[in-house]
Amino acid sequence: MGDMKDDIAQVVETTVVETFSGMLGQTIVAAAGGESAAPTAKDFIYACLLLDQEQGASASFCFSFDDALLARTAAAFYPGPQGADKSVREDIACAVANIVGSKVKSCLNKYGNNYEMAVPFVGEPCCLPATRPDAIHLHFSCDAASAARGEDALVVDVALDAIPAGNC
Amino acid sequence: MPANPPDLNVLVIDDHMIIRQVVEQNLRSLGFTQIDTASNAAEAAERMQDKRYDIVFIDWILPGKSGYALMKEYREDRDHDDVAFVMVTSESDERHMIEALKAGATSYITKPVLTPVFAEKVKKVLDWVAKRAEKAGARSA
Repeated sequence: MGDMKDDIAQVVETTVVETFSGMLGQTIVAAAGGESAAPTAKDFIYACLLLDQEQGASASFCFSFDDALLARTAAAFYPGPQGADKSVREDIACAVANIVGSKVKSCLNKYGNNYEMAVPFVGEPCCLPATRPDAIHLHFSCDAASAARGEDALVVDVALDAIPAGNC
Repeated sequence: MPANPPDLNVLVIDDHMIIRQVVEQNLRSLGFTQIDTASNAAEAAERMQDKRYDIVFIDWILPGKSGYALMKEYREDRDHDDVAFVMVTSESDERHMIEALKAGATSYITKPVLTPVFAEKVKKVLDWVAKRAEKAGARSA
């Protein structure tokens, strides 16, 4: 289980950084100290998604985005009033969740699992799988200095309901 | 010689606005100017009825009919033989890629869309479009 969690964490970290830095033009770095659950502040936008198998095993994800990160991203792509629209920021949140979830799904399915991914949706903090004792909590910050101050730009919580087969 | 981007009509189909925007920006930086977008298969079908597209960038998973199913339908129709279909999808495993290419995708790009990879793939698609145009020209001559 430990290896699998490490592998999932690695896929999530790599994909989040690649998606923000390579595709969306926003610097983001993986931050240490990922033991605590995602923040439940008002200025976060939450995207949730579920990977599940016919046998019932599932992995649930909650992405908690600092609204400021999404607002900067939106402004870069949509200059003008459209960039300030909350639906634009929610669309970015779900698009990122979709890309990360798909990468994890591919990683798990390489080893004989048969996970399917549901469409990500914008949720409330109550969708957090963070209370699970075996949950993975991955923290990201905008730069090394904000990481050192513990300022989260994004937290990804992952909870696995069963041990998937193989390693990624 | 590859096809000339400003001469080509392009359609970008994705349910996420940000992905449509990312793909459009990448296309504009490569010289494309005639770019339309659609957020689902029904909207895309309407656009394709009204206009002849040279390249269609299409997401695998769309609300309602999937992008894969839409592409297969057009591929089975000989009238769309010369349209390049490029899957732009977060489905990154080999099985999906092979399935898409077998069903007639001209190219396959996995998300996140990274500019250097995108540019390289589009370059090959432009070659494909030019070759198709040459063949069509030779047939009609």
